[in-house]
Amino acid sequence: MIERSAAIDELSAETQAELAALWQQRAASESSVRGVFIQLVAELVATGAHADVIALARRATEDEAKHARICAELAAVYRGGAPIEVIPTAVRLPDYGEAPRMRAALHVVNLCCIGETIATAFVEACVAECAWPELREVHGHHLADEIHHARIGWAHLVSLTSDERGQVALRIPELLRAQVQAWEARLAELPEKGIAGHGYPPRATLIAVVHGAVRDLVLPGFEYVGVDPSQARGWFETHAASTALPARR
Amino acid sequence: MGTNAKLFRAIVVLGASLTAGGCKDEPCATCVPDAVASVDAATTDAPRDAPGDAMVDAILIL
Repeated sequence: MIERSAAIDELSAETQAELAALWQQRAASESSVRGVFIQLVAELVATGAHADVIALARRATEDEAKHARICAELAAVYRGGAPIEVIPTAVRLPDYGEAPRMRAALHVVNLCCIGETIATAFVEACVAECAWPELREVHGHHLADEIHHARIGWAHLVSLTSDERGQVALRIPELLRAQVQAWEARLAELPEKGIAGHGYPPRATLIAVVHGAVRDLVLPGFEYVGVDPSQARGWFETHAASTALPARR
Repeated sequence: MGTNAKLFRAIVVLGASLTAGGCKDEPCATCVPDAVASVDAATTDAPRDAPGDAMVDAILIL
């Protein structure tokens, strides 16, 4: 069980409640992500993915359950009570109108190449904003797990045929757009000025972190594994330029 | 080396290396050890048919 830090007592009751709510939401999100990884494992097995990719995805289902528990514990620490059981929303990714093997590949791209890769940069930024050691340790373990989850995507793309990678490239713009817009929408709900010392940098910082992850990790990642991201890059740079001012409201 | 450069190496370079030794041109018994026998089976196994699930375009950790 995570010990309550004296740093929490220095916060106002309102901020403590806000952090409790944020961590409870993250517990639910992590639990929903677990459900999508379970979906992904089934698809990868069914469509003959590389054994190492399947093993990593199976591990991710366990990691996400652990993350959900820890987030619920953190919520309880900030709330000052017992953890509240997480009841996940059952979600699934679109089937994209594709045959099973390509659908699995697009789910891997959506969840791992884009979503989990952006998540590593997000969590790293959160680590830098942690003032108490136990919170920093929680984020540090979380970051290590997210790196493994992101690797699933790049490992899987390399194992595809060149023709399959070509088909994936055609869908990158819509997948990237969906992920970036989802991140921006969620970040818009976080505290504008962040919560110093408690793992929440200012919103503008987080937007910059997400955009930086797309620019420095996701798009070059596609190039590295032989998936042409040029159309997606064109959309992203236009989008990032047009959203820069609203993000800093 | 900057933060994102370190992440790129840890995620993309090391991730890609996990399967880089496999067959890249044609699925085969080496790189697809768990393949099912038919597309029908794969379609049936895939949980896209799970009732009651909400479809989302993206799922986030936060």
